[in-house]
Amino acid sequence: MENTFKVVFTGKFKEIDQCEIRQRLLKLYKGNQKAVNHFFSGRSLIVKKETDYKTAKKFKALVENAGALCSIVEIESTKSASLKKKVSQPKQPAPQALPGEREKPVSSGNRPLKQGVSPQSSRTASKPSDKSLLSGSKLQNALAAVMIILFVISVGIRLRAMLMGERILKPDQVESNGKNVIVHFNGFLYFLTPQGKLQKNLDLAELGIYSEPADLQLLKDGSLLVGDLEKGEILRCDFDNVSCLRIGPAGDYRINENFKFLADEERNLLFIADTNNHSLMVQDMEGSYISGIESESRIRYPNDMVLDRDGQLWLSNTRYSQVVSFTVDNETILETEKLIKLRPRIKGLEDIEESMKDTSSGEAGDLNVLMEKFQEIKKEKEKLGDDLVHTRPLALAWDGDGNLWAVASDGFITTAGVRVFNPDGEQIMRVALGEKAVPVDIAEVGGNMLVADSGLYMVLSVDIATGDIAEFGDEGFLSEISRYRSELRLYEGIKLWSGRGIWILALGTIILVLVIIIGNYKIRARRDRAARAEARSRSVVPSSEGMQTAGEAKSYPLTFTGSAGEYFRIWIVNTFLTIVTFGVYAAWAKVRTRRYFYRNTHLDGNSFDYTADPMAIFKGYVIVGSGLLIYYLSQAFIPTYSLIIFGLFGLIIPILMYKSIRFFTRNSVYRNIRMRFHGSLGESYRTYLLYPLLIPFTLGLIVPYWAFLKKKYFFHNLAFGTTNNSFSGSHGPFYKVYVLSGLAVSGAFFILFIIMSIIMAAMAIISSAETDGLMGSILFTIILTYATMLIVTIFLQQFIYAWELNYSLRNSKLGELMFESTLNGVRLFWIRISNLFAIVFSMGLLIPWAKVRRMRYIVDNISVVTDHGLDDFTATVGTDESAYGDAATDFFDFDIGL
Amino acid sequence: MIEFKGTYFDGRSSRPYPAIFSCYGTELRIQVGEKSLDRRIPLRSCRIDPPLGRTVPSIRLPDGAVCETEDRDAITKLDALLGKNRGMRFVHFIENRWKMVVLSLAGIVMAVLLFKTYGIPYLAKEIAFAAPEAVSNELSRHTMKILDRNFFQPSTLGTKKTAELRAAFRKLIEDIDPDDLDYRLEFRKSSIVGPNAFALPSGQIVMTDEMVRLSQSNRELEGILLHEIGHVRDRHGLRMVIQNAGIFLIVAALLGDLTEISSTAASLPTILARSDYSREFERAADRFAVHYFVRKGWDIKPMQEILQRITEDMPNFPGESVLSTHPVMQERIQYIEEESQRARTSGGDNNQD
Repeated sequence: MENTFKVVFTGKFKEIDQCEIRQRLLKLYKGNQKAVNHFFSGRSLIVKKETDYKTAKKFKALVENAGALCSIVEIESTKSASLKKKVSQPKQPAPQALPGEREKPVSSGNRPLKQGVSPQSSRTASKPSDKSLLSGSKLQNALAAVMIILFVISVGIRLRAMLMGERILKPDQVESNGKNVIVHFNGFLYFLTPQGKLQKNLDLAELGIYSEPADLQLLKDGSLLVGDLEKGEILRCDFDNVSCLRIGPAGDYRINENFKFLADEERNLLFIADTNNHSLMVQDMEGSYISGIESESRIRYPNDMVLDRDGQLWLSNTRYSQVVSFTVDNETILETEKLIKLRPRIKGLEDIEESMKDTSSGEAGDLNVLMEKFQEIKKEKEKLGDDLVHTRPLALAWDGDGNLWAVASDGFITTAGVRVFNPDGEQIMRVALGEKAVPVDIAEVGGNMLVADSGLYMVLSVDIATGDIAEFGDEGFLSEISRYRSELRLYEGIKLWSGRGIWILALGTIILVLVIIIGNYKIRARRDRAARAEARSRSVVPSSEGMQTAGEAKSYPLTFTGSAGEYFRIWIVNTFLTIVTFGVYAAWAKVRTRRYFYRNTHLDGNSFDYTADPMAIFKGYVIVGSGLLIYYLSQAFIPTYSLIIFGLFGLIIPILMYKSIRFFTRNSVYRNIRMRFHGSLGESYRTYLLYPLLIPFTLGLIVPYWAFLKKKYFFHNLAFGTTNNSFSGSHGPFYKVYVLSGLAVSGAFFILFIIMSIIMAAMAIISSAETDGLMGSILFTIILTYATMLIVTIFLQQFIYAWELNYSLRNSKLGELMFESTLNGVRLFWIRISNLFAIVFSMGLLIPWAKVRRMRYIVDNISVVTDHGLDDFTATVGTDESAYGDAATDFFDFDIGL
Repeated sequence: MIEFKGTYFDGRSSRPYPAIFSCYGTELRIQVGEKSLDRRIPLRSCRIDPPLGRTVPSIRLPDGAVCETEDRDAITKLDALLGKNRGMRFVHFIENRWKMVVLSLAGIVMAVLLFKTYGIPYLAKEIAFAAPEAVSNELSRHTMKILDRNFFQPSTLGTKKTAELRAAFRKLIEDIDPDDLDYRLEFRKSSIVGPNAFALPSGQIVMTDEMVRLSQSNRELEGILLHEIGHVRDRHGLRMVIQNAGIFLIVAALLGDLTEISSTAASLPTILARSDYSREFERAADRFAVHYFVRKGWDIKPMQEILQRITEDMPNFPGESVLSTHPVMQERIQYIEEESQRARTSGGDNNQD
């Protein structure tokens, strides 16, 4: 390449009146005040850069004629970077008058000069490599990788510990028949003497029971009743030949989830409390149904049962915080009036309620008295303590004195205690078992109460007379139970710490991702600033040649000439023919519709054209349509497979997108030159599969980045004939717009939420009496919410659509040609909303009108700007490969955003 | 001879060249002054784009060049001369006449209504009866699995009651002898669903414990069972699935090329059509039950009474009559009354639908 030259204003003027020089320069620069002002900043200035010697001389003469002294400086051979740039941009872009600043020392001429003068193009050019938003420094990447690996490991450890911990079943059953004690934990039954001597143990699996037992009972003949929780069955097991026989529930009755049973051998009865079905059933020991009670108003979540000396059945009616009693008479089960209430009455509360009534009847209550009473209640409550909490009876046992011992828990079985009641229902004692105790079962043996505690992982023995507590069992039993206890504690510890670890790591990863993103953003911003500054310092005052061409830069608006009436007719006939041909005509209809819109979009006297072959589209429809039909049928009949098909569909979406964009661009023609798409399939996979998959892992933070990538994929790879489009947008503005609109929408929702609550409250007050009104107001609220959601969604869609199209077009450059797009999101929103109403109220007849209206607005707001006219685009030759495969993708009608 | 002015695009650059076109018999002559070009091309090898509204027509030459002109008459003549595009010219002819368009619109409305009322139900019926048993079994198995997981618990009715009801059910089936489907009666408990019964295509009929508890006599439940047997016998379940698919296809065909409108507006006709179909099936099943009752000389009162009780059991939700798939109970009770009158006068004819 030849050496190039630049013309530099030395900062000095000829010795004429400066006003005169200013006038002349102004004339030269066609009245551009700003450009001329730079001459009077007292610094040197590039007047014309990178030109051949001849032109340089001409420029020097022109400017010196005006009165400013110039010199010609030779630039040493330009580097390949600018060479490349020159090749891809054969002509200098229309220069704009930009604030030219001081000339850098002449030595800067050694560096390759940027050709673009606008800040945008210089910004893109100065970006060395488009670093991905999510790539941090090496250290950061390594740290993130380690954190993610640790995170996965912690989750694994935690899951493992949870699994292992869950396999260690806690002590939850203790039963006794006076001669023997039987305890269950960890899937084993332990047989002990009343004194606590371990006799033998038995694996429940040997009896064919693989879950924890629902309940146990030792019979007099030494056989054992076991409740199989998994199958919902009661088995009578004989230890001599280790065999079990199903004896309940009777007949068709099926137990769901938890249950308890109690055998009354004397009367040959078996009681079953079906906890989750809220029913109590009596059958005989052979498996025949006798009677049952099923009434949720009387029994809710029945649990443990005991028989008293008179043969009456006492049942813990858990949800109602009662222990109720029943008699069996004449093959029916009847509720008696005897019951024990576990929810203590708070003295004084009724008084207050009474006095409140008095107040409402007109007599003003004395506030001091009321306060005093509240204090009393508070004291009362303190005195009652856990009795107020432990109100749900879980397990029952009678002691020798005729007092009922009840294990009672809170509503969620997180804490529990043992309470003792006399037959009149008065509490006579409560046994404190310690802070972490969660007793779950209780049984009486030889003057002691044995309590199975799942919280402490112990079996405790409580002396009935003194209330002394000791751990039950001999050394063998204790070592056995403590082994599992410590194992369980270990897993619990691991669970706790791995859980904390997971949170810390997750938080750390998120913070790191944020740091990387912010860091990258800062780096980019700094680079941009530097690039801008450089561009400013390098910018030159527009040359006279530039001035002339800038004067010629012309805007060509796109215009739309379609009419609603005409399109209505086409649409109706299209629809009619599609229906009577059973869908065959759909391909032709589609091409016809597209062609109508393309043909009515004009630019500089000529219209666009859409040249897809309907036959190719039809063939594509047949293939894809039958695939979809199979999908729909499989979804209706075999839902499992359709999920797999859905997954496969996700995998091929990038291919479909890629092919459909290719198809759509190839068939878009202007002045007999086709558009092109040079994007790669790999990039499509990155854009339409990889990044969407990453969204959940970045907490949605890359959604705007993804939106940017989609636009970039299309606009950066677009070409018109041989001229490639370049897209100089960056993700920054996408973040700004997405975040701001997100904030605006959440604000709107917050306000709406408040308004709704007020409306709801008002309506509730107005119509508190009648349920109809309340239902109406709920319906109204649902409709209002739905409508608002719809409106907000549409607004977001339209606003972002308008902004993205504006931004993408403004940052696109098709060779020398630039775009201007002035879509207004609010206006577009209004068009969409009014269209929607028009369509709904015209029963679809205004669809063509709506479509034409929207199209007209969009097209009329786009124009192209160029100083070289539209005649010089050339077509590619010989690359017209077959597009039949691409046509199939037309079926999906992907929204590419144009 | 046809002569007209227009623009010539050579297909290599985006430059438009004003040109004069003339056609002598079988030849098209193109003269471009600027390019000093004078081409003669056999008319046969040219392709004229089908006419479309008032858009600019174009002629495609075999080498990829394109000619455009505002002179539509000339192109029409050329097109006629060439003899291609007959079909599309006819389409264009229709599109340009409002009367034809209105006729087309009427045609669309009629076609859609006919298809919705007769076409789809007919096709669905044919398909449903032709479908292999495996399809309905598979469909039922999956439905039941989902229902069991989400809504149902095992029944807690005693053996006595269930055995009694199963015997009554068996008797009904033997009496009707519908076909070789495996009719079964099952019971489930569900506080969410409440008193209800439904039939699966495989012949499985499920009744909730709540329904049994709500009844005061077995006759009432027999009415309900007959209604469900009617559903199974006439394959209503399968037909419903197929008809819904059909409606989906129609709506997709009508609004298919429309990315403009949100799916909300499109889903409304689908819902309406679906509830219409469901209403039809409920009536058919009621008719079946009523005719059986009348034939047996049973009183239809129990049938109405249990419906009445279900109505009272349900929360009163406004707007039910529009969107609910079950016709409002009152309407059904009324229908049963009318149908029983009709059945009595016609002698208990059981051949319907």
